[in-house]
Amino acid sequence: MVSFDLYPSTLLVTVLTVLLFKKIIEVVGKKNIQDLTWRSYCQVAGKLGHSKLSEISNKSSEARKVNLQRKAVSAQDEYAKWTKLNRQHDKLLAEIDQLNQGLASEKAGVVKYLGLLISVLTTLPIWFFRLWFRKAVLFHLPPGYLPYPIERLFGLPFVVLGGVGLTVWMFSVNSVLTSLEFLIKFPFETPVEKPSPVDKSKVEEVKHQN
Amino acid sequence: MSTLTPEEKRRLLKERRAAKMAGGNATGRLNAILNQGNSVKSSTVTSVLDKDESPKPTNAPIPTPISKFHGDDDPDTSDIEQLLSTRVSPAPSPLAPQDPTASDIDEMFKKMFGGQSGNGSGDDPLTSMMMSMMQQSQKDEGDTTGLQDQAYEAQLLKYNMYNLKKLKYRFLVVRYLSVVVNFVYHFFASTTFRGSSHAFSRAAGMSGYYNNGFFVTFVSLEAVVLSSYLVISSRRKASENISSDNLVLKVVSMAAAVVPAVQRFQPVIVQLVKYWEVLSMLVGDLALVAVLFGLTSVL
Repeated sequence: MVSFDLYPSTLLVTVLTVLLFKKIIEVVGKKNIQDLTWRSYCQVAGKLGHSKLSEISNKSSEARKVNLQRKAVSAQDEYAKWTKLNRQHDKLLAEIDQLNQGLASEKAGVVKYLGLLISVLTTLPIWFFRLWFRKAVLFHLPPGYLPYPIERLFGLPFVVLGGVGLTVWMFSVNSVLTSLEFLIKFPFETPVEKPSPVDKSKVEEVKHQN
Repeated sequence: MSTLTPEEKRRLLKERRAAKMAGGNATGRLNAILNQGNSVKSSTVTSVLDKDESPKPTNAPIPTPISKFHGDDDPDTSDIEQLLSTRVSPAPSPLAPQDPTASDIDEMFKKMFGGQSGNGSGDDPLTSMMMSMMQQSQKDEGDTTGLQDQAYEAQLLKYNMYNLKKLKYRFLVVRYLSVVVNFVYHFFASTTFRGSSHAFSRAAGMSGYYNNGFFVTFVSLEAVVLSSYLVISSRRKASENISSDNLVLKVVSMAAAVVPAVQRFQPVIVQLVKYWEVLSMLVGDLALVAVLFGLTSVL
């Protein structure tokens, strides 16, 4: 029979880390993480010799150069040169767009693997721990400091009196992380100004004028 | 000019006509009508009245109340024109009696515009149409004011909800600070005040001495903070007329609209939701205590 055991302290820290990681992903947003991963992948894979990505990278740098040249040229004074550069720039943009469309399936693959990785790092461990360590005591409370009902509450549902199990620990960590998220995010929220009431006398005045 | 009723006028007109027919020269009159407007008088029709051999009443006395009628001659002005002019001239008031034809036309107008006019029967349909148009324009202006009011109410609700959130934020800071300060004080004040991964440390500490300093302080601070929050938030919600940001209350108010019996329980449910909010804050603070004990167990 397979035996898998962890020290209570190791289990406690692991669960805390996993829940913290999950909360960070929630706050940052899965979409933002996917976009960031795809951009990093494009940069790294391009440098490592990925054909399409290196071609896109080359064409993008060329388009940037042509754009700078076009901006440096006056359209009124050197119309022919400006038009030529403009046409070249548009052509490069169209080629880059076409190459990006070709990469769509590759992007979908990257996103899929990223989603899988996030599940492996967050959801899977939590479910595993809940099943495997459901009766484990993560730590014991100091005796005499908390009354019996509170100690009983902390021991729910499977743990002895005075001990804290995985269920209560996960609930407590989630609750604290949510409160900390609120504490950190709220000061950065845009404050809402008090609206000024509608002045009905002015509305009447405007009506009569009209 | 004598004021004659329309019926009298009609009777007079009939008598005059009869008198003209009795006077003869029907063919001449017919040809005059047919040649009207023609430069060449070419009409040579014969009136059926001249063809007809039957005796006509010619000597019957004809009453002539209108002075313009001179014997056998046609009157100076057309009686039909007079009749029409009396019919076309506007009545002195909307409630004056009208000719049947005009009243038919009025009836027709009323049927067409009756839905829009709110003034009842007897009104001039054009006037009622103008009134209804003015009422519509006033309603449109009222709608604009209504929209402005709605926008103001929405913005005010947003502002009040933000204020409530700000209140919760402040109380969360106070709660967490009070719990952490209380915990840290007892952590440094007592060597046994910490969690442990080992069961024997709990057994060893079971000396029968109960140190309730931490919990008493915790409960006292929670009582003060949470009761203050309850009072302040209730007052704010009542004064700022915030119905609720709670899903349960929204469901209950929707159910009350459908099932009136639910309205009896609505105040009780509102009170329970308030207490639930406070209870969830207490549970959150206990969770913080558990996390702090857990962190001290790995130190």
